[in-house]
Order: sequence, then structure tokens, then C-alpha cells
Amino acid sequence: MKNIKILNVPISLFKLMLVAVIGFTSVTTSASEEHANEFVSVSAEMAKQNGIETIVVTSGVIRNEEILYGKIVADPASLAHVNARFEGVIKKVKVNIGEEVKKGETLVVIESNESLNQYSINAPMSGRIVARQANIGELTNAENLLTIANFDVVWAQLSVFPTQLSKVNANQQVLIHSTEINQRAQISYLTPSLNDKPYSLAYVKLNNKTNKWPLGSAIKGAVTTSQHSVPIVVPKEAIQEFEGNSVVFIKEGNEYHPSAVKTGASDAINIAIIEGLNVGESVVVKNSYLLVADLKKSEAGHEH
Amino acid sequence: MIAWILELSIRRRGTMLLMALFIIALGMWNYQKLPIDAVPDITNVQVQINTQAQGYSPLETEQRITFIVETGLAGLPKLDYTRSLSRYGLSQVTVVFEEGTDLYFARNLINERLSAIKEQLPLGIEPEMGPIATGLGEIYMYSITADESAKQNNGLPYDAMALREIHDWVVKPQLALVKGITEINAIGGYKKQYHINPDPLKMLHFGITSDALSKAVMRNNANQGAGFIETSGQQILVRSQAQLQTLQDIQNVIIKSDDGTLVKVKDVAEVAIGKELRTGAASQEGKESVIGTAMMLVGENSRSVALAVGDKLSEIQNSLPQGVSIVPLYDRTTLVDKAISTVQKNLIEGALLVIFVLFLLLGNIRAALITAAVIPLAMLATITGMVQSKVSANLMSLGALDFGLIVDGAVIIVENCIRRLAESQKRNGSVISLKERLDIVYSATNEVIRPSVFGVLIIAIVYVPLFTLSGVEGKMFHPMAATVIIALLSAMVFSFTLVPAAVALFLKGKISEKESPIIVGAKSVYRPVLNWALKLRWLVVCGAALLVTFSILLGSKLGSEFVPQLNEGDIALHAMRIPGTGIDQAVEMQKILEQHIMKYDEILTVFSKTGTAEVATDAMPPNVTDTFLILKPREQWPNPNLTKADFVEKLEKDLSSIPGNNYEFTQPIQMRFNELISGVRADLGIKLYGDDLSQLVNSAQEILTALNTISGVADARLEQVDDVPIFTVNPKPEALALYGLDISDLQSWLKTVMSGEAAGLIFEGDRRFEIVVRYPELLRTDLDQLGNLPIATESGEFVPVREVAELNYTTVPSQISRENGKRRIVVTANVRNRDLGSFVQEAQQKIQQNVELPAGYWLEYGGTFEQLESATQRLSIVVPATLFVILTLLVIAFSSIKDALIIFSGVPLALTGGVLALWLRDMPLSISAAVGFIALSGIAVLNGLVMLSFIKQRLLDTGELINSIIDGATVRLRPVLMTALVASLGFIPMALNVGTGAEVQRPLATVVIGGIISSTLLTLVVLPVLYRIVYHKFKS
Repeated sequence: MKNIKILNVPISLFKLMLVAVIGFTSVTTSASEEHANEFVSVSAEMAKQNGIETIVVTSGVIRNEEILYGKIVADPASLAHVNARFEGVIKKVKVNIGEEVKKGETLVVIESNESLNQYSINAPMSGRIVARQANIGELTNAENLLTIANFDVVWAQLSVFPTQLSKVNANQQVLIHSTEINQRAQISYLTPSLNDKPYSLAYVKLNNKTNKWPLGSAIKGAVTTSQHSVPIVVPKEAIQEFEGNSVVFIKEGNEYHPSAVKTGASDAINIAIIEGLNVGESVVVKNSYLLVADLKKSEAGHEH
Repeated sequence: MIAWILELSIRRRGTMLLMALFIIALGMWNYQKLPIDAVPDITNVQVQINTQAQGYSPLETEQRITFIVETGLAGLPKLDYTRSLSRYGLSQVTVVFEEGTDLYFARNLINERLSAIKEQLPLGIEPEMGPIATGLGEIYMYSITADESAKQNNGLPYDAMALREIHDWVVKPQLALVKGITEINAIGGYKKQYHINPDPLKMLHFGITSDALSKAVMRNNANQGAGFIETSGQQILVRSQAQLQTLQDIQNVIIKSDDGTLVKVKDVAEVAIGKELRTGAASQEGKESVIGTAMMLVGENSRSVALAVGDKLSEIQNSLPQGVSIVPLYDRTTLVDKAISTVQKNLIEGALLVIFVLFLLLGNIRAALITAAVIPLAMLATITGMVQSKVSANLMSLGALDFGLIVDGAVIIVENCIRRLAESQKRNGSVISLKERLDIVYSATNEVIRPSVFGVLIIAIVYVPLFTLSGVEGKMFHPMAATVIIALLSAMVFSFTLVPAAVALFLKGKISEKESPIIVGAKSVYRPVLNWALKLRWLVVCGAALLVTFSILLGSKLGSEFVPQLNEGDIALHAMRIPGTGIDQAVEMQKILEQHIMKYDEILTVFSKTGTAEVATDAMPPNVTDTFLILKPREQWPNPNLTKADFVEKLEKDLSSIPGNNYEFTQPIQMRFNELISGVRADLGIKLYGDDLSQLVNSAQEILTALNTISGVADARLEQVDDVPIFTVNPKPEALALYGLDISDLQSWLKTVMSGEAAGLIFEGDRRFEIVVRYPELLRTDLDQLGNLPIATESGEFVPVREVAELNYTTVPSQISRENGKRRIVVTANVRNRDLGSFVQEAQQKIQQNVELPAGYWLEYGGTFEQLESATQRLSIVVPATLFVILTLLVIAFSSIKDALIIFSGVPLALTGGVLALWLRDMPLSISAAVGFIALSGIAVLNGLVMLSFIKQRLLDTGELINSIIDGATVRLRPVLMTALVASLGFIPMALNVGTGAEVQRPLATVVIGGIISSTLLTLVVLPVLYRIVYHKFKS
């Protein structure tokens, strides 16, 4: 519906005279729509005011990513439960919860029930005491006495869902992100998840000497799945839809010409151009929407 | 009967004058109640039903809201039709009732229906009726601004959101109480909301779903009253208080306890003051702003309401924080005052001219004053009549009032009285006695009462066909016709009651009746001319006939125009961007546009409304901006001689250099009318109804092709259905099930991410603000990354959205239009060089042959051709009927068809002058001009009537034809000249005025002046000649 100027478009002429002549004519504006060889001219000042910016087209790199989520899990080798070899009475406990121990350090002294000799149990690995069940005078009763944990190395366990599986492989680079920190690492290996879950697991080994990856933290991993150089690359913002084509706007003086392009691979920021653009041309990267809007503005109407 | 009234009036002349006082008092009292506006209200009886549905796409809106509302309204009594549009987040159903339906009755009916369908609508969706206002309703606009240095309580400068808060909670509640205001509609800024932005990773960490988050906030935010107890005779109320009050309170809401660790909102989400997802924005002079519009209740007096709003706003100003101020932007008072002062100026100047002419020609100041006294009396009586018949005072209704015309009847009577009194005085040589005087007044009045009453009646009757105009034209011209008729009739009544009474009362003593030199001169010229004309009678008749033919030819060459557009003094400008443009992008483009406009020295200020306001009185998509350009008075322009039209042209050319905008220039009131009365305005509109949108477009395309093959077709086009991009998240049910989710889990998650989930309210005194759980801006705006976001599953695990839903970009129609409960699409076409009837017939035939419509699809033919047809039909009955009535009146007056026809000959003669005047002033033929022609025919008849009745009288008295004609014509020269002069001089100010609103009246006045000159000259010459020809065989 074309907007109607009720009052001033000569819609009908109503001649009423005593001779009773009644005649009517009507006028509405007609719009012709031609799109051939169009371009937009914008003065430099106007372009600046409107924030239209260009860059010179160069070659570049397209980097594809997959986002995975998961959590921090302990290295199975990072935990040691200390047990008594011979049952007996606990005579001494030399460490307490939270203390650091070195490998070979004496932890507990036990008097054996059989020999009534005292023997000491040494730390099987370096780490921190995270649990203590043993107290002086108690019987060992084949229970865990102490638990030593060493979280210098933890694993990021990332879920790889079916649609991602074909792209994610071992040895790919991954950026692990928790709420506070980022860490570059490499996928060590992929395994199916054991308990019938519909996803696979990718494991990434992380150095945790400073304890910045608490176990169980939710994490996000951005995996670089592919990376390749392409001869022509522009920011995605440069691409606009016009008459069913993807176009970029090439600046020539104060004229901006739409050029239909064939696009190739893209990542989060950039897109490769296969056809329709050459290195060295100036292409609009900011506010190119305005240019399309200007080309299409004859279509801009107001309906009620 | 008239004679009896006349006799009574003269006998009881004192009482009559008391009656005049009564009429004055009544008129003044009614004047207080008279609605005054600049232009007539052309809005039909309609009620808008707006339903806001945040997040709904056009298709959902239509299916789940519009359809239900529309079908709910079907079968309302007096319903004319319904139309609707469904957009993103808004369903608007417009219900149009038959003319004359009481608006409150209609609203009551709708209210009843709406409450009945409430249950069928989705939860939380509330249809609301639009304000009780018409196209004239937007009478006052203002913006809220803050000094750069002004600081809020928290030390920050005022931003658009803070200003909006002030508007909504300080300004609006006070302003809404002004009497005559029905709605305060705000646009701009953002509504303040409390936002909880969850971090998906942290949510995963604690195994919290967004649902659990919003539930936790909702459940921990309430006060509860718990009755009372009586202790020792005292009543104590019991209450539990836990309402959240601050950001910290929200942050500390506990979501769950995890092994004794409390997980609070702040552990998983940021809490901050946030912005609503707005559908409308406002800006002023290139800066974001908050604009309020006061809407006037239908039928109120816009001037007084706008004044009251202005007063209230300056009062409210005192209650605003330091540095924040209300800036009035648009005040209807200005326009109304200008328009009314134009009318006033015209009327007063006209009245003065009339008095002057009367004095000059009658040579008696008392007689002139008596005649002129009819002017204010008739005006006051007209006001009373207007109030009674609910006609508002505006440029159109007052535009055709000509006091010269109104006093015509009185002029004839006073002229005759004074002539007779003077004659009798001359005969007696002394002052005549009271009884004699009364007798003379009676007989003198009685002598001319018939022609004068008949003449006035005829002038009134010719306005009657205007009442058959319907629709917009009807609304514009009915008040005009009504006002003129009321004025004429009241003046007519005065002319045989008050006027003779006053003459009898005041014209005593020596009557000074000097034939003014003008009349003496005119007579000395007129006599020989008449003699000469009577001799060359056939030449005169042929000349007159030629003249008429020539003017008809000239008339057909004149341009045509509907109604000259009232210049409102301001510009309204639609700035349009391509469909699908976002609100923020549009605002950015608008800011640049406004900065550009402000460079002009002609502009006082510029402000704009983008998209849809809080109350969707005008449902605009975000790509369209209503821009208001308030102009400085012309005197302050750099070039005061520049016309507004030239300025608009210059502006349009310049603005087109700004990329991305398309413009449409109009004016504020005009724009509002266009918005309300939308409909097909092309000659032929073919409405295609059906279900499937793409099928509709296809079939319409075929119809268009068929139309284009018909000869005479012009501007055939398809109603545009714009597509806008849409991002779809379509669930994969199997995948969802695999992870223990269902479709509603996904959809409610999507809603939380994108538009947010309401989670209760925060109260700050009266002010209430929504708490909304919505994902952080960075996440929700990056659609490419949306697929990667994890959804928490039942088991506390998660799955990326991409796994369970298909993500795609596609397009949907930006809006779906319906009419009478069905989707419709319109093909319109105009017709050139061919008569409409046959074109429509051929079109129907062609379409039937060439276009095959699927079952369930049907066509409706409409458009202006329908209105034109019915108007033509009605006019072809009413116009001849009117002519017949006039003729009958003339025949009754003269008991002779011949005489009646002779008088009638004055009409075409009068038209020649009107056409010539238009041509000379280079004006197109418009309805206003047509109304001028109508008035003209009346005056022409009156002139002829006066002259002929006298000639006839003479002829009967003397039986001598030629001398009777010459004597009669000469004696009547003065009244004819007088009536003609007063009628045309009364219109002169109107014809020359350039003030606001003059453009509507100018053509009318031009036609009347031109026509009266020609008709007087020709009546004086041609009519006696015709009489001579017709009665040449007369033997006494």
C-alpha cells in the first residue's frame, strides 16, 4: 500500500456545478525501478560523518574453531592412597592434612601385629596430604591411612559432540578458558565416553603447578580445527546482501560500487573471497549497510 | 405566516430587541463549549486494539493473537470492517464502525468481547484498546532533557534511561490528570530494568539451569501480609518482608545449597541495571532523547487542552531534579491560534468592509449599522447552532462564511425601507408619525420579503448537495455546509424579525437618504447601457452565450486538486530505511539526518520518533522514523520570501545526499490522518483473500499481469510485502530426547538467552522495574556463536545448542495484513483516458479468464471507483433534485416558469467570472472552488430575483414593457450593486490573506468574487434583455 496523501494528492476532482458536470481523474505517483549499473556516491565528508570506512584488500588466514565444553579432572596418576602393609597399631603420624610431602619421606610408623616390630611407611610420591584417616593408637584394619594427591598436572576433559567429532583430532591446538584464565594447550587424545554418553571425550593435559585449575571447574575449549592461507580475505562485515547476491562495496573516488562476490571459507571474523574482488582494491568494512540501504531505498516504504 | 411574524416584530419591536440580547447571551455561552481546531476531524469511528507480544515473530503474532482477536470481534453490531497487521512483537487490529456509531458504545462492545477471548490468548498477553482519540489527538509533544553538568544521585550524568524513568514516574502521572487528556504516550530512551546476566560456564559449573535461576529470584522476592492478631485489645498486623530492593539484594539471592556451600546469584551471573529491548526510540537535534505525546480525548477543545497541558508542564518542571527540564516541542495551540486568527481577521475585515459599503451606498449610518448588526448576531446564532449540531469550529467550517452573503437579505430589506421612508418624508416634507412609519416599514419589508427570503433559502439549498459527499470529503465539507446553512437561516430569520423591528425603532427623525455619488454615477452610466442593450438584444444574448461557452472551455483547461492543503506551518518527514533495518542503526542514521537538518536557519528544532511508541497508536517498524521539523516564523528566515514549498523542495534535494534514507514529506496532522484512515486510494483496488502467503503473492502477481494487458491502465502495482531476515532455531526432536530435553526446554532457554525471562519486579516507591534474566549482550548478539552455547540438561550435564537444533538464516514477511478476518494482499491500479466503469468491467472479465484461484481464495473489487460510483449516483439524483427545488421555489415566488428560467440564466453567467478569476490567479479547480461555485449560483439567483420581481411589479402596475424594464432595473440597481458589493467585498480579505489556513479559503473566495462581478454586470444587462425577449408580446 503506497502511503496516501489524503489531502494533497489530487485524488479526485469533483466538479459540482449547477449544470451537474461530474468528472473524476486520479493521479498516483509511479515508481520506476531500475538497478542496472548502480553505485552510490558519497562525499568524503559524508562518508566520515556516517562512519563509512574502507581497507585495502590483502591476503590472509582463515582459522576455523570448534567450541567444546567440559571440566577439569584429575590425572589418575596423581593420587596415592597410603595403606599399611602389615596390620597393626598406628604409633606415629608425622604429617597432617594439607601438608606437602616429598617422595620417600616417612609418613606413618606402625607396630606390626605379627612381629610387634615397628616399621615406617614412606611417601610413594611427592604431593599434598588431602585426606587422613589414621590417628595414633588406631588399628590399621586394612583401611586407607592417608591420601596424597599431586595436581601439578590436571586434565581438561572436553565433550566432543557428534557434529564436532569429524573436525576435532588429537594434537590440535586448543585454547582452554575458565572464568578467569586462558591457557594454550594441545589435545592429547580422544576417547569415547565410557558410560554410554552420546559424546566423546578429548583430553588436554594442563600444567597446574600454581593450582589455577581446580578440579571440577567448568571450562570451555576453543579448538583450532583448521587454518589455511587464502589469497583474498575481507572482514565478514564487508559482505552485504543485495538482489540475492553477496556483494562488497569497492570505493573508487567518491563512488562506491557494489561488486557481486563468490565467498569461500570463513571464520568468526574473516571470510575468503574467491571471485569478484582483487588484492589492492579498497573495500568498505564499516557501515556498508548504509550503502546497501541507499541502493535499496526506493524499496523503503511506510505501510500502515 | 411571514407577514404575521413581520407584523408582530414591528409591533413588539422592543421585545424583539430583548430577544437579540438573549441570542447574544446564548451565543456567548455556547462559544465556551465550541470545540475549536485548525482542521476538521476526518477520522472514521475506529478503535485500535494493540497487543504487545515481546519476542513473537509476525507469523506467531498473527496466528496466536491477531486471529483470535479478530474472530472474537466478528459480528459486532454496527461493525463496518476490521483490518489488522501483525509485526514483530505487535498485533494491531483496527475496528472500523459505521459512521455515526457512538465511540464509547463501540469500545464497550469491544471490551466485552476482549474479556471473553482472554482465555484463548497465550499467557501474559493482554490486548489493549488504543486511546480514545482521533487524528487530531496529538496536540502536544515535549522532550525531557538534562544539562550536561547535571548529575544523578549516583553521580553519573543523566542518560536516556534516567530521563525515561523521570518521564514515566514523575511527568506522566501528573500530566495524565489534565482534563481532556486521554493518554500520555512516551517514546525514547530505555525502560529501566534489572538484568541478571548469567555466565553459561559458571552455570555449568554449579549445575544450574537458567530456569532454576529465574525461579529462585521469583520465589525470593515478596512481601506477604498475614492477617492480624489481637493482643490486649490491640490489633496487630502481621507481615513478612522479603522484597528485593537493590542490586545487592538480587545478587545475594540463594539459588541452591551445594553440600553446605550456598550458590548465590552473584556466583553465576552479573547483576546490573540494563536496557529493555526497545521497539521505539526518539531523538532531538541529533541526540537521543525522550519524547512524550499528549493525546487529546475525542471531542475536546484542542486549544484549551493544549494550553492546559502547557501550564501543567511548567508546573511539573518544579518537581524535576536540578538540571532536568521539559522542553515543549509541538503545541497545537500555535496552529489553532494562527488558523483562528486568520479566520477572525477575514471575518472582521470582511464585516468592516461590508459596513463601509453599506454606509457608502445607503448614505445612512444608522441603517448601515442595523444591517451590520446582523453580522455578530448571525455569528453568535451560528455558534449556538454549531454547538447543538456538534460541528467544530475550524478553517473548513468557518471558511465559507461570508458576512456579505449573510446580510444580503437584510440589505435588501433595509434598503427598501430606507428608500420608502425617505420617499414618504420627501412627499410629506416633514417627519412622519410613528404609525405611518411603522406602516411604511411593514409594507416596505413585505414588498421585498419574498424575494429576499426565497433568495436566502435558495443560497442555503444549493449547499445541500454537499451533504451527499461521503467519507473523507463528507467529513470535510459537511461542517462547512452545515455552518453556512445555519448562518444563512439565522440571518434570514433576523431579516424579517429583528431587522424590521430595529428599523422601526431606530430610523426615526429625519431620514437622511442621500443617493451616494457612486449610485448616481452608476445610474447615469447604467441607463444608456441598458437602453443600448435592449436595442441590440440578440447581440447581447449571443455574446453572453459565447462567454459562457468560452468559460466552460477554460474551466476544463484548469488544473485540478482535491482540497488545497492547509499549511500547518511545520513539516513532518518520514525517513525510511530498507526493511529490516535495526532500531539502533536507524537511530544512528537519524542522528546524522537531524544534524544535517539543523544546519538550516529556517529550522527552529527537529525531533523524531523511530519505530513504535509505548502505546502503539502508530505501529511503525524500526526502519521508519517520523521526523518533525518545527520551522521558525517566516520573518526570521534568512530569506523571508522563500515559500514553505520551495524550502521543502530545497531540503528534499539536499537530504537525498545522505546515504540510506528515503523521504516522504508531509505535515504533522496530515500524517496522523493518513495513519488512521489507511485504505485503498487508487481507482481500483483488487483485494485477494486467502491463507497461504506465497500463494497470495503468486496469484496477485498473475492478477497484476492480467491488469497490465488492459488499455488505460496506469500505475498497476502489487502491495509490497517486505521480507525481513530471521534467524531460526528449529529443534531436532530426536536429538533433544537423547539428552533428556524437549522442545519447550529448548524454546524457553532460547527466550532467556535472547529476549530474557521476566523474573519479578523491583519496587522503588511507586516505581516498579522488571527483573529480567537474560544472557550477556556479547553472547546473545553473536548469532554465529549461538550454536556453541551449552544448554544444561536434566541430569546436570549439558549439550551445545547446535546438537539439538537446526540453526539457519531465512526471511519472513515483515508484517502480515489482514482484513475482515482473512489474510489479504492488494493489487491497485489507476485508470487514464478511459471511463472507470468499463475498465473495471474488463478487468473483472480478464481476471476471471486468466487467473485461476485455488479453492479458499477469493477476490474483492474496491477502491475509489466504488466511492466515485456511489458519489456520482447520489449526485446525479441530488443535484437535479436541488435544481428542481430551486426552480420550484422560483416558480412559487413568481408563479411563472418563464420568470424562473430567466432568473436561472444568471447562474451560468456567474460561473464565467468564477472560472476567469481562477484562471487569472492561476489556481486549480478544487472542491473548495466548487463550493465557491455553489455559493455563487445562489447569489446569482438572488440578484436576478430581486431585479425581476421589481420589473414584474412595474410591468403589472404600468403595463408598459420597455419602461418597466428600464425603470425597474434602475431602481433595483442600488440593491443589486449593494448585495453584490457586500458579498464580494466580504470575501476580499479571504482571497488576499496569506496567513495560516488561508490556502483553504482562497480558491473559494476567488471564485465568489470573480463570479459576483461577472454575474452582477451580466444580470444588470442580460437579464433585462432576456425579459424583453421573453415578454415582447406582453400586452397589458
